[in-house]
Amino acid sequence: MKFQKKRQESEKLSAWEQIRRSKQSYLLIAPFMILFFFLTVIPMVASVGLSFTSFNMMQKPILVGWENYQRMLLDDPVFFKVLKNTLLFAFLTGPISYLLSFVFAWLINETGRTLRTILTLIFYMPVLAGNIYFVWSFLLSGDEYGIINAFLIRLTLISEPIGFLTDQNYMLMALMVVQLWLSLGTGFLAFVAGFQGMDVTLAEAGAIDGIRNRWQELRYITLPGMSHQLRFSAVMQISSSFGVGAVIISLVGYPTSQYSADTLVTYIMDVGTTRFEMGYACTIAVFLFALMIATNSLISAILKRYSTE
Amino acid sequence: MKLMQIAAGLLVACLLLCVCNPVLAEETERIDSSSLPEPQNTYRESEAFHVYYRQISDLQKAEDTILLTLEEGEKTIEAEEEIAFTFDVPADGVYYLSLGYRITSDSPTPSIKLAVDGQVPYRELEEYALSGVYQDGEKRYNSQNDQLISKQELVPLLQEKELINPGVMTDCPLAIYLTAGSHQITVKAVNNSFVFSYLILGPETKIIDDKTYLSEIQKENVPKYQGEPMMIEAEEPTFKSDPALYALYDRNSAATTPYHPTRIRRNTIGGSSWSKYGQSLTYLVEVEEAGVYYLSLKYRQGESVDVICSRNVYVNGEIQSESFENVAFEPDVRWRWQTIKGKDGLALPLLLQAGENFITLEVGHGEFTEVLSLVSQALSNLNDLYIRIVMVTGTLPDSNRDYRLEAEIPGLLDTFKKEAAELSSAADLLDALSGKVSSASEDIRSMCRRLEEFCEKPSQIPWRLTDYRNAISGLTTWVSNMKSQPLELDCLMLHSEDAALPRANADFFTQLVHEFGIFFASFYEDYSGDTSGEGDELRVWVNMGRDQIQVIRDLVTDSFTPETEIPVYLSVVQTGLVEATLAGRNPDVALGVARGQPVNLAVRGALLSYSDYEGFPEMESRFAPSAVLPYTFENKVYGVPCSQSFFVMFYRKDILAKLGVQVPQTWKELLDVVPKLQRSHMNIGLPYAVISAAAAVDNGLGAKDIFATLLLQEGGTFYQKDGTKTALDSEAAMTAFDTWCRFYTRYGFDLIYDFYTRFTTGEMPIGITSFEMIQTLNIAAEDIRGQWEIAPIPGTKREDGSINRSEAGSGTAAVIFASTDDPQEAYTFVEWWTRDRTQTVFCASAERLLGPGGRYSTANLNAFDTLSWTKGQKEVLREQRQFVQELEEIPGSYYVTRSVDNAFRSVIYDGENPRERFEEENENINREIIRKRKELGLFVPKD
Repeated sequence: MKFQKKRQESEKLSAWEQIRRSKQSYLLIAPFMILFFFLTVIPMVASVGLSFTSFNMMQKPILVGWENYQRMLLDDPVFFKVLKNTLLFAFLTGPISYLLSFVFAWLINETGRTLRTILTLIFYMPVLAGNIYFVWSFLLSGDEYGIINAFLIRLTLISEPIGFLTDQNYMLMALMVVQLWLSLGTGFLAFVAGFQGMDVTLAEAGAIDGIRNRWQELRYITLPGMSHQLRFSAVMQISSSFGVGAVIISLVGYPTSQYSADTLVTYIMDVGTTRFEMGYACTIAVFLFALMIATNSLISAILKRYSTE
Repeated sequence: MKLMQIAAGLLVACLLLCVCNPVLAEETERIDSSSLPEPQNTYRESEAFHVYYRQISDLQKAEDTILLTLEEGEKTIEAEEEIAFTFDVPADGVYYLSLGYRITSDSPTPSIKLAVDGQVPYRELEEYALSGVYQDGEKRYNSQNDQLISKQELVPLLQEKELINPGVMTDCPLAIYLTAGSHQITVKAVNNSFVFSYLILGPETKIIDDKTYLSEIQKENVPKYQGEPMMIEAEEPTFKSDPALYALYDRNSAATTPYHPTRIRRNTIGGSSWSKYGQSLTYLVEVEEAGVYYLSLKYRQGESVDVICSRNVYVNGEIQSESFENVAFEPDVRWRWQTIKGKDGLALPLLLQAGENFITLEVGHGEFTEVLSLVSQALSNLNDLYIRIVMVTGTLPDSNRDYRLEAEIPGLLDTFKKEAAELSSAADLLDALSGKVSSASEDIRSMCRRLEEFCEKPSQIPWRLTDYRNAISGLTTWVSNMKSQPLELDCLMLHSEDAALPRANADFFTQLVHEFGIFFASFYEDYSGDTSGEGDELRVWVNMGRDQIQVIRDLVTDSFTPETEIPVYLSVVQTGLVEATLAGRNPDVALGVARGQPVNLAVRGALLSYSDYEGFPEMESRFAPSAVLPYTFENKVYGVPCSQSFFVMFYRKDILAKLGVQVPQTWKELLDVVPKLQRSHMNIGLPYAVISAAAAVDNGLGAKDIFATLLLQEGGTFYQKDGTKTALDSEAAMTAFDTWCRFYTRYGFDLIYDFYTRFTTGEMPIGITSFEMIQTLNIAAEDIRGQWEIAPIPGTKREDGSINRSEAGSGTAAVIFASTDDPQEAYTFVEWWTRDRTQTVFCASAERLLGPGGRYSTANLNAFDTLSWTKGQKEVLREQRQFVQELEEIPGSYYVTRSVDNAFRSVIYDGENPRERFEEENENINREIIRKRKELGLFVPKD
């Protein structure tokens, strides 16, 4: 996009000249850019367009103006319930998992090489193994033979099995635990790599300059030195927290009982694929997109101030 | 936060409980002992042949042969018809049974019931399945040069077969003991007709030992074959006993014959479909001169690594020597040659006559029959004890309480001791037979140790109960695995004594070339199945498996296309009808479409209505009366049912008999049974599926839970006539909802459970679920065979005293798309597909090809009746089907599932008022329906 603008602004020849001069770079990003353009940019622009229509996926879309936005903000109680869940995921599990990733990476960094590799593998395993979160449906099963329930009953802590995945009072909590377990992902790896890439001489220099303990070392040397990893991780963590969906569907159902554990993502699926209201689904998607951009820039701003002191 | 509170509360409660525990124990202890009836430990096994045989095995063996024939020679015995023979037995003795018969119609599989003097001696003769003779049709290929499964043709050949014990618990065929004097035997055809020729009662067939066999060959100076090895392709048997034994393909090895690097060549046979005792393959071999020939088989067996498979080798219907019986095949995942050897370890030749010879390979009973019968009898007793312990302690006993089980259940420890001894001897026998200590024998021993520990410290039993149950089910699975003896064959070789056999597996370089070939071919070969050649075919999408499609394709090429001259292109498409319609790439016809889709597509103008076709009323009459209702919108029918399923009630005969409980007929009776069951820590299972919009669209409202059923029995409906509003504000709906909630809130029914497990262990002796569970239990629940039955679901008493057992159903449909080029052709196809004849053949072929698991719950009434249900099941299914009232699907009906469920969960988890919550949700549904109707531009009532 940027490059198109530039081309319009400057003279045709010089733009062409620019591209030619760095043609290797353009060549290298081309495969990704082409796919990105067709599979992400176009659908995104299209969904903004569709959000102003009523579209049932089989007949032609009808232009309805701001009606969908009106409905979303003024006439849809479910939307706000679902928004609340999404924000809970984003601002509760997101930061917690971010901190956890950091703490675990820090701890792992203190261990020896072999142990570090093994621990990294173990913590990263849930992500590598794909849909392995399905094991939680056995752990949390509401059957009296469900693993956690059977354990609690045996300890006589409870007498009736708890429907962790069916009772609307427990669902969201159960999902958050699973999501935390799942979230030591790419961000975590970036931290591990960041700690690895730290310049040891800096720590030595710091020790001479009066750093007294590990905490000060972390605060004044390690963190500022890792600002890129911190930002990258934050973006990854927040967007994955906003995108929680598949876990919910496979563990507690779709839609969840009284929407008590639905997020914007599953709500979009519900509206779009079950009710065939693609226009409205696009409206919510546009909202989610805006929300994510806003959150990400907020986080970036905070981290920037914090880490480049 | 809430969890914390609850946890804290529970902690306090737990402390209190610990203090009060002894008191509670005192009080509850004496409830049960008097109400428990006497144990009937051997209830199940007592009727089996291996028990009967133990009683008669020491008795006089018969020496005479009695041949029972009919005057008219052969006679077709129609289903449920019987013939009787009265005859004189010259001397007391144990007689073995052989039957001469022909099968002319195999769907459903004909069985016989054989009674002696009016009584069936053991349960194996209650319904003994007869196997037919089959052969392959012509070889055929699709347009991409892949070899397809050949058609399996039934040959009405006369065959004489010994009746064998299908339970593989004895190493002898079925036998009866007859005293001297006059007796009567009746043979009854069950399920289907067959042609009776004769019945032989005779002495045991004696098989000569290897020594005598070899010395006889030497004496007669039979020449040894000296020529080149003769190869017989195993995948081309002349006859087979089962149509499921069709040729398979192995593309991983370069050494299987015939070989093709990229396309499918059917080059092997057997595997898991050739694993049942008695299944056989017969090969016609022509040799120029009589002589002795050595037989080698190229096989692999990687499916059950613990099982040593056995095969009997017959030459012209006879086992020539003892080593041809139960030839053992060690498991091996790679191909391997095995030459048949004698007891001395040297290769043992077959004696063939000049000209035609039939070599038959039959699944044998194997070496472990005695171990299996010992273990399964012990397991049956231990399982009985499990149920009796659960009756006292519940499934999750309190570990701090002493239940004094040894006093509560008389003979408990003695039975444990006895079974421990039995199992230990079984484990020793198993080791002796297999020549090594196997993991299975260790499992059996660990069960023994557990039982011995139970005897030493009976107070441990309650808290080790779950382990005990798991160990039982583990061993039960082992027993049924041992009975299955899969073996895959590539080819047979008849050769001279010193002939060199070709390599079983390709050498390294050949294999390497083969692997590379496959890899590179994957870039240009099309593996998608059949491609359409021209564009004017009728395109049909089928939401079923690949194998079912093959069956439909056969039907189309055999009957539809020749009859109508309409070419059809079938493809497997599971989902995505909406997306395809959006992209304009939808098919002309789709089969197996999920329940909610037809109306969804129809309101958006994507479907053609059947009601506009002439002759539709006739088509409609093929299904149950309300079967098209879910596919009807504004009085037009947009889908016709393909499959249809509904609930029936399953119950455990043995347990209900023990508890003295009758099968409940009404909900009131059901609730009366509850205390009796719950006092024994058992429960009743009602269906409840966790809500999923996708699944709700797929299955409809009726299959999710019991609410729809209760509503219909109360006389209510979901929607008002014009579909603009629900009818859930009626008193009937309120009552139904209230009753439904009370099952869980007041009667403590379990909401989430695994029905199969709990039903087989006996913890849930009564349960309501889809009738498709019948097949699951038939196939997998070996340990409770014959112990369960189905009944119509409980109903509500009408004023005239009759019982209203109404319920809702679920199923799939066939639809025609509006964009089709030729609506008439599309209709002709659907009309053909739903015919009695087509559906009958389809169901039968699918089940033949895929085994009993492939049974298709067709919506066609006449075809449904031809499926091989037992007589009792058929009656129940027929009765229950009359009560099936399908529910309408309307625009917005997806909202009903979730709203009713929301109300339900608020009541059972939050204890809210059922009526208030239900009313509230009902309003939500009505709002959504109106919104949906507005969006679709449909009529919306004013108020």
